Amino acid sequence: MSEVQVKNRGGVDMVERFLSADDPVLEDVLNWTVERDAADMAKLLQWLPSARSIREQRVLMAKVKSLSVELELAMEKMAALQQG
Amino acid sequence: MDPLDDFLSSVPEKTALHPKKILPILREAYTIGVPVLIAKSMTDRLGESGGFAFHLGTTDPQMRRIASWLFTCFGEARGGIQKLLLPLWKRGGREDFKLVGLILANLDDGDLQQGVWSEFFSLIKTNSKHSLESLLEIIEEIHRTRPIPNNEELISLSLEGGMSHQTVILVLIVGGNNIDFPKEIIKSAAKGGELFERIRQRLLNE
Repeated sequence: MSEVQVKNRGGVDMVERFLSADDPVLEDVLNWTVERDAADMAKLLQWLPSARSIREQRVLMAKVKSLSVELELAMEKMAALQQG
Repeated sequence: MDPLDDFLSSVPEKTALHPKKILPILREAYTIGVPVLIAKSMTDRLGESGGFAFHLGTTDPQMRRIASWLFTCFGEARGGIQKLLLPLWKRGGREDFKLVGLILANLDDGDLQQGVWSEFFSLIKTNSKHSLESLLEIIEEIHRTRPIPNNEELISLSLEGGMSHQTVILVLIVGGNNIDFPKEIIKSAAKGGELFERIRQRLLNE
C-alpha cells in the first residue's frame, strides 16, 4: 500500500491511498498518453473555429476523433491495470 | 575508371558497415573531383556564417554515386545503412545532409523500424541546428520516391511543436496542392527566418 499526497482542484491537500500498479512502466506510458492526447485535443479544438473551410474543419475533427479513440483506450487500460 | 570510382573501389566493402570507419572515408570521397580552392572557400564562408560543419561543393551526380556505392556495400542488409543516418546528421556537413536525403529516399519503409518520414522527423529532433535549404533538399529527395505523409500524420507532427511543426510547413510546400490542411496550423508554427516566413505566407495565400 502506498500513500500519496495529492492536491485536489480546490487546492486543499488530501491523502489518497491506492495499490501500486502491477506494471508501473505501462501505467506511466498510459498516463503520458492520456495527458498528451487531452492536450492535443484541446489545441485542435482551439484551432477548429479558425478553420477557413468545412474541409479544414473535417481534417481537424478527424484528428480529434482519432485521438479520442486512443484516449479512451488508454483510460480503459489504466482502469483495468488499477483494478488488477 | 575515374578518380571517384578508383577511390571507392579501394575501400573494402565491409568498412562501410562500421559508421565510425566509414564517416571519414565518406568525407574524403566528397572531396574527389572538387577543386581544392572551391571546397576551401565554401567551407570558410559557410563556417563563418554558422551554417554547415563543412560544405565542399560535391556535385549532385557524385553524391548519387557515393550513395549508390553505399547501398551496394550493404547489399541485401539494406536496413543496416540506417545506422549511418544519425552519425551523418550529427556531423552536419552539407554533403552529409545530402547523403542522408539520398539514403532515406532509397530505403523502403520496411527497411526501417519506423517509416522513412518518421525516421526523418526523428533525426530533426536530435539537434536544433539545421539549414533550411538542406531540410528542403532532403524533403524533396524523399518526396521523389514517395508521397508526403497524410494530413493526420502531418497534424500529429505539428502537435509535437518546435522544429517538427516548422518542418511540417516545409513538407507541405514540397508536397504542394494540399488545400485541406488547416491554415491555423500553418499560422501557429514558430517564427522562422526570412525564407521560412515566405514559404509560410505562400501556403497561407494558396
